Amino acid sequence: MHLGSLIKQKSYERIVALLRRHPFVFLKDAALFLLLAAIPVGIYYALRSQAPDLLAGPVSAPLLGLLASTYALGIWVFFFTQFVDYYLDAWILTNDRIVNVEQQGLFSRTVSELDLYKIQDVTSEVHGAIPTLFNYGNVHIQTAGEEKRFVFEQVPNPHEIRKQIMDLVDEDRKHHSQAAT
Amino acid sequence: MFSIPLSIFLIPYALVLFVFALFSLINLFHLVKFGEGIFPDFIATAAYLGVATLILFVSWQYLSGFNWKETIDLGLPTDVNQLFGQ
Repeated sequence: MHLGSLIKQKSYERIVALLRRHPFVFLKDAALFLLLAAIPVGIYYALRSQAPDLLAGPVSAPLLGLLASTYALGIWVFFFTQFVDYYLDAWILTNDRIVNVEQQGLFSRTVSELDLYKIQDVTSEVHGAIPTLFNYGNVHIQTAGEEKRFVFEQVPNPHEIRKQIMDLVDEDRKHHSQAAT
Repeated sequence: MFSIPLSIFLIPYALVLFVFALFSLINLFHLVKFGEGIFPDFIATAAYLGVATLILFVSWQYLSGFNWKETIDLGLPTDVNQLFGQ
């Protein structure tokens, strides 16, 4: 599925940006995966030095093999699920609206839209040492009369994105006021 | 003595393989249906399938070398009379 078919672009509409969470966010998942993958290697060497009989036993060896295979398949599918969750979360910024596409686990997907001219307030924030170092954070978008806010989570260059959104909002308001007169 | 064949452990392992295949298919379906259809999608799919195939191949190579007809003694008497020392 291409972005154009996801948002059904209007004739005057152009995609300004496609945003995803900063790659560092996914690197944390990758680091966790590598840590989990290293555990059985550590256990193998510990068993080899402390209980080598277990690795050679006619019953214990195949059972350990089954356990290791199950573990490897489990962490691999878990890692891939994390990747799909990361990769399919996206925010599409056009000169007319914002589209929020959110994948939550395997069985939940939300797509919501917000017209730019309804936006009243945009806030960008970077909290913490690592987000400051890698320059990623959240952008909160508030509309009039609605308590719920759109949030771009852990996106790169949040302050730049806030400025870009405010410019697009001004542009879109002018477009709507001209259309009304 | 009560004993079970080692091959009985292949049944839960088959269930693990089924769940793995199911979750893999759902993930790949999401990537194909909701992805952008661009190069990183194909790289991710190929990498996932490649590593999954490698894990399954190594598992098969390792596990096929064992005698699965081996039995495990659970230490329980199979004869009821033995329970009461008769």
